[in-house]
Amino acid sequence: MTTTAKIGAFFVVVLLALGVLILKIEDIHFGKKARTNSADAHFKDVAGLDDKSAVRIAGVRVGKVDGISLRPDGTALAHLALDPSVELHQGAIAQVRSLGMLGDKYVELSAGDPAAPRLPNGALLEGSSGTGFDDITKLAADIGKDLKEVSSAMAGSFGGPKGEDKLNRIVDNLGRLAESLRDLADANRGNVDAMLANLRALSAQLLETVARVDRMLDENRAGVKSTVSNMDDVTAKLKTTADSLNSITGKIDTGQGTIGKLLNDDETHKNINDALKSVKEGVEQLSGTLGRINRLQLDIGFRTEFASRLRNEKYYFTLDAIPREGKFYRLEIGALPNGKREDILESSTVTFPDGSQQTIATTGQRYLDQFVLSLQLGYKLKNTILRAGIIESRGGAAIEQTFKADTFRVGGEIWDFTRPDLNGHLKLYTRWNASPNLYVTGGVDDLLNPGLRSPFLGAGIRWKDEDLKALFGSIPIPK
Amino acid sequence: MKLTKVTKSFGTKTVLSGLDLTVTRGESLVLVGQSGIGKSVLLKHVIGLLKPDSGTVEIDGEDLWKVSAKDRDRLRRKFGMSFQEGALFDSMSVGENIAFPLTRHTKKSKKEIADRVAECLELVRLPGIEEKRPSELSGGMRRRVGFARAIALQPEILLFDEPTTGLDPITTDVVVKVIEEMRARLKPSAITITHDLKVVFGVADRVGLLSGGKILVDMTPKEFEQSKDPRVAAFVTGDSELAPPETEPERRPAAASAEAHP
Amino acid sequence: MNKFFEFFGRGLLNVMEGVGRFFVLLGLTMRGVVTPPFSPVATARQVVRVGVDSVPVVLLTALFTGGVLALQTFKGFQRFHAEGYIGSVVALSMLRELGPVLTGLMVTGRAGSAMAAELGSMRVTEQIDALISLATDPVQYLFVPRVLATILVVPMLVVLADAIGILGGYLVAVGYLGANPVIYMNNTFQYLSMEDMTSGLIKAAAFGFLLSLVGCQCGYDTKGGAEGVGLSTTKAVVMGSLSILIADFFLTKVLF
Repeated sequence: MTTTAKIGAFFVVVLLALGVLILKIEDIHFGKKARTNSADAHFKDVAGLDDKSAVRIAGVRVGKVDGISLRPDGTALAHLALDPSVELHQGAIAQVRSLGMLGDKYVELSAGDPAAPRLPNGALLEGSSGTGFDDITKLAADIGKDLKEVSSAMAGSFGGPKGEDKLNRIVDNLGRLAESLRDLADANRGNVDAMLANLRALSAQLLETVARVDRMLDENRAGVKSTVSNMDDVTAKLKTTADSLNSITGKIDTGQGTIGKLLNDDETHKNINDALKSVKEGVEQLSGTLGRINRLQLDIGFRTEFASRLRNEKYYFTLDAIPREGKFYRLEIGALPNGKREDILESSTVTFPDGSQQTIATTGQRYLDQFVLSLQLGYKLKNTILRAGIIESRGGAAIEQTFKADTFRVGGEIWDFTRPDLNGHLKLYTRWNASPNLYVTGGVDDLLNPGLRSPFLGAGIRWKDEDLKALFGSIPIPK
Repeated sequence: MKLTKVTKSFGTKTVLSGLDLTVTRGESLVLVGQSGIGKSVLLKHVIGLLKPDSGTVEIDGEDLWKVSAKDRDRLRRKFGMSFQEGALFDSMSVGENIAFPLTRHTKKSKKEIADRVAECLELVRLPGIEEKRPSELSGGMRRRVGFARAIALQPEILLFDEPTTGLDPITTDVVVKVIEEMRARLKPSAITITHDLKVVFGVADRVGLLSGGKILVDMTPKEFEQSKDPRVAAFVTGDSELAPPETEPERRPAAASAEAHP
Repeated sequence: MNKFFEFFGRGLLNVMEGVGRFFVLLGLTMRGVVTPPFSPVATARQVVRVGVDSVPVVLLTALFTGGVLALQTFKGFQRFHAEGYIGSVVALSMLRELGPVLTGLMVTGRAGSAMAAELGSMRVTEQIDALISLATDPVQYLFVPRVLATILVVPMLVVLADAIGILGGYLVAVGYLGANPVIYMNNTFQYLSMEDMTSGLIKAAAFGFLLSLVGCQCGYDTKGGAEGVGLSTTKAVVMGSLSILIADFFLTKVLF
């Protein structure tokens, strides 16, 4: 081989390899596969989507994203290069979806109704990012706003002693409402219990019957035949039962009886359908939520407080879900001493020397340890934190002020206005964040009730989202 | 061609110290001296393979180290240098070796070059070996091919670096005769370095003895042969008793000349 | 103590001298590139010697590198259930990093050392002096074709190495690990952009330049006889490889 021939061969081979690599990398096709089809999709949010991400219809890969740009109105425009075989019709929409463990994002197209007119090449598709957690949190934010308005209105009308009076009345009303609800449940408890008991008895009988049949079969193999003949008898009886059942359902069909009326009423039907629909929507939203849950920040905390006068401890486990900066949902579980109040009646019989007896009844109250639940919506506005919702299983609200980038915090919580002969539960406290994960707290609990008032001292641990992620990231995933 | 007060040291060792040397047109100077005394170094200064620490090297009145690199190459074209082992380019055939200066510095056609190569080979009595590789040649042949390459451009000055060292007496005789013939044909000036008396008496118009970094004596071959100067006599008779004490041998010039051509 | 300083001082001076020589020769080479006479034939000969003759060793290296890469990333990615990304990782690593660096190192071992040996023996047999005496600039005559040819040829070898490395990864992933061939190929190219390849090729050209100039310098500055040639050859490989790895770091920083 001459020098020239060697160089020639070398160059040809290299150019071939280069050509193949370039064609593959740039995804250029010739002839039938050449991409002539394209469309633009307009999204509010393309986070995670990238150049060259796949485009799929019903999960089938039909092209790729060929450039993403920002539109002047702050939305995103993705250019999609599609296989020529893809036909888009009017009503086609694009959706950003994710696939697999690593959340590989892609664009899912619905090609539109085949009966509708075909879209021209390069058409602009409306894109949706799917119903996700963001939408739900937006909804919750709106609710929160309403709540805030209500509470500010309340603050206006409940100022002063007159307001307090009003408040007490409202709280009384609320208490009474809750009481009547409980009574209602109690009253029906008998029915429900009876129902459950019947059911239990029924199943027990059934079990027994089955066992008996088994036993019978075992004991009288010879008599099985006669049993079988007896079966005819049984089936005949069953038939009559079925007949009567038929007559019942017939009655239902014709709208006789209450159930029949209910089931045959169109409006009921519609209501049920609506209910089912809303359930379905809820499920869809939930699945969307779960898909987005990884965007949610979670803080976990644990703290204990010691009330020095009452000599008791409280323990709290706190979970803050932070969908976005400045807003959070708090779920707190507390283990309290004296959390549950129980009225007790003690009677003692005294026998006097003269032989006469007297029974003395004393009433008392016993407080039991209890788990309480808090569920609150919170906002963080600069250095002020507002919370409202359920505090230790009662309605309430809290305000906190932070200083020096949350090194110090001063706040107050008020809740539980329904205790008999007691004022609302007001707790004032200050908190020092000694480190990002550790804090010390102290203050006065139940300030408004001299009998229960006590200074307290506490300490807590808090893990922020990044700590948790670091923690879970280091745990090996078993295969 | 004139060297004035040329001084050169390698590290702490001074090889040439204020050496003066003049060679007129057509003259043949033979330099002798003990091994390692700096004869090759001197020769390399003449053609500008080494740059003197001080002093000047002039070719036809032009200072070799004061002109541009391009002019220096022009001056070098006046030289033909033959190296100790021939220094043939072993990546090329004999013919290509001789043709090398012709293709680089002339615009001759291929035919003219081939003719000139054949002519040069004939002059060194090695006709028709163009296609051979340098590795196939004996030491004497290599040197003569080296001569052929040196004379290809018809130089005005020929430099021979130990043309006969390591050759048998018969080959030495051939080499000496070839040198004579070349001188007769081309009439160049020539500087030859040797410690072979056969060469001295074969080719010299003048003989110089190099010692202590200077040309000690400068005389005709006849005077040289009969000189009573102990250093010359020692050289001629080969009596080490008469010679000055041996000095530390210089480093191989090849090793040092890297710094001449940067 | 004095000896200590002397030792280090001399070492430092030697390093500085080497670096200085590198840049002096770089300048002379540049000058040689732009001034006539040009030597396309000599360059073509070097293309064959540096490029064509290096093809087998480069291909073999790339094939096994690609294979090992697939095998190793599989071991790691399996733990995250991200096996689908092996193709991308192999292709990206080959194109951006391993293709240029390994080819550079292989060519240093094959051609850089050969340049040092050739120029070294030319130096000790006075052939370089002979060149000068024939009014030929040895840097231009010897360096320029080698450096030009190597700069041209290493990126070309890298293209081959890239292709073969991806093939090696494919063979291991599909043949041994049982990946789906179509999905593997799709994943291989889905995340590549031309920039990945061009950055690799720019690196390759820089490596070619470095290894050839270092190889030539080591040979050109050979001192002493046959032993010197041996030392130069070793030095050319060591210095060439080192400069490639160091340059790789900075080039990656610049090109990233």
